[in-house]
Amino acid sequence: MDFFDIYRTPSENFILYGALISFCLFVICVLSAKLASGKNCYTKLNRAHMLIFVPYISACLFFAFSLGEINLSLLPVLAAGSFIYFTLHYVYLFAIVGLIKKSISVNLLADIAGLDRGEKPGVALSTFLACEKEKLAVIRLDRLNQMEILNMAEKKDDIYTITPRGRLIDRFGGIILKTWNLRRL
Amino acid sequence: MPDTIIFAFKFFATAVVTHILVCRLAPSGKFMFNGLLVGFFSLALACAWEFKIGRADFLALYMLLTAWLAYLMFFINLLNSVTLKMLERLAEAPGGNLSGEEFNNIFNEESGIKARLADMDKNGFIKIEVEHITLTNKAGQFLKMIFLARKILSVNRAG
Repeated sequence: MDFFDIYRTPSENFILYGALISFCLFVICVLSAKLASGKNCYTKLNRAHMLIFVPYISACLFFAFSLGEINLSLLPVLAAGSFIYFTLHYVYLFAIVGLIKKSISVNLLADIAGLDRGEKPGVALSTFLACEKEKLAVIRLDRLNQMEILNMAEKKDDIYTITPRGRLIDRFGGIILKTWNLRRL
Repeated sequence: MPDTIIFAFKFFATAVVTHILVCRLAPSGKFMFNGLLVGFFSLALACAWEFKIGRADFLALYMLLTAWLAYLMFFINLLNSVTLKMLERLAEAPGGNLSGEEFNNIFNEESGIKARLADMDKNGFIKIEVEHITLTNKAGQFLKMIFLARKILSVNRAG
C-alpha cells in the first residue's frame, strides 16, 4: 500500500511543501505589516503575495536544477505548487478579508450592532436607513468608478456608456446564469 | 502528479455537471445549499475512491475542495456583485447609456439596503418587526467571529 508516499522525488516534495511554507511567510507578512488594514488593502495584499511567489518559484527551479531533476515531468508539479500557493491566498485568505471588510451585508449587520445601544434591543428602521444612506452613496460611487477602472463603462459628462468589453462581460454572465438557471438577487 | 490533477479534475467536472442538473431540474432557490451538498458528496466520494484504491492523495482532495469553493465563490460574486448588477442595468438601458442620477435612483436605499435586510431576515440573521430591526443570536455569534477576524488581521472598519 502506498499511503502517504506518493510524491517521491526531493524536487516534488520541495515544490509542494515550499508552497505551504511560502504561504505561511506571506501570512506572517500580512499580520506583521498589517497589510489588510487601510484603503488599498487588496492591492497591497496582491503585491506582497507576488513578491513572495517569485523567490519561491526561483528556489524550486534552482533546487530541481541542482539535483539534476529538471525535466518536463516537473511542469505539473510546479503547476500544483503554484495552485496551492495561489488558492490559499485567493480562495481562503482573500475571501476572508473580502468578507470582513467589503461585504455589504456584514457591514450592515455590524452597523446594526453598533447602533443597538438603547434600552430597547435593536434599532428603528428609519434611523438605520438614515445612517446608511451616506454609506450607500459612497459604495455606489465606488462601484461606478470600478466599472470605469475595469473598462466596462465610460463616463462622459455624468453619462455612463457601456463599452464592448462591458457588454461582453454582461453577456457572458447572462449565459452562465441561464445555464445554471439562476437569477441575480 | 498528472494522476493527482486528473483525479481531482474528474471529480470536479462530475460535480459541476451534477450541480447544473440539480439547479436546472430542481430550481429551489437554495443555490448555496445545493452547491455545498454537491461539493460535500463529491469530496466524500473522492475520499471513498482513494480508500478503495489504497492511497491517500491529500493534494487531490485539497485541489477538489478548493476548486469547488472557488466555483461557489465565482457564483456568489456573479449573483451578488453590485458592479455586475450596475453593468446589467447599463446593458439593458436604451443605447447602453445611463446618467449618474439614474444610477442613484436605481441603486437607492430602497433597492440596496432594504433588499439586503429582507434577505438577512429570510436567513435568520435579523428580525424586522413593526419598523424595528433586532439582531438574532445567530447574527451575534457570526459577528463575534467577524470582529475576531478583524482584530487578528488589523482590519478596523469597512474599506
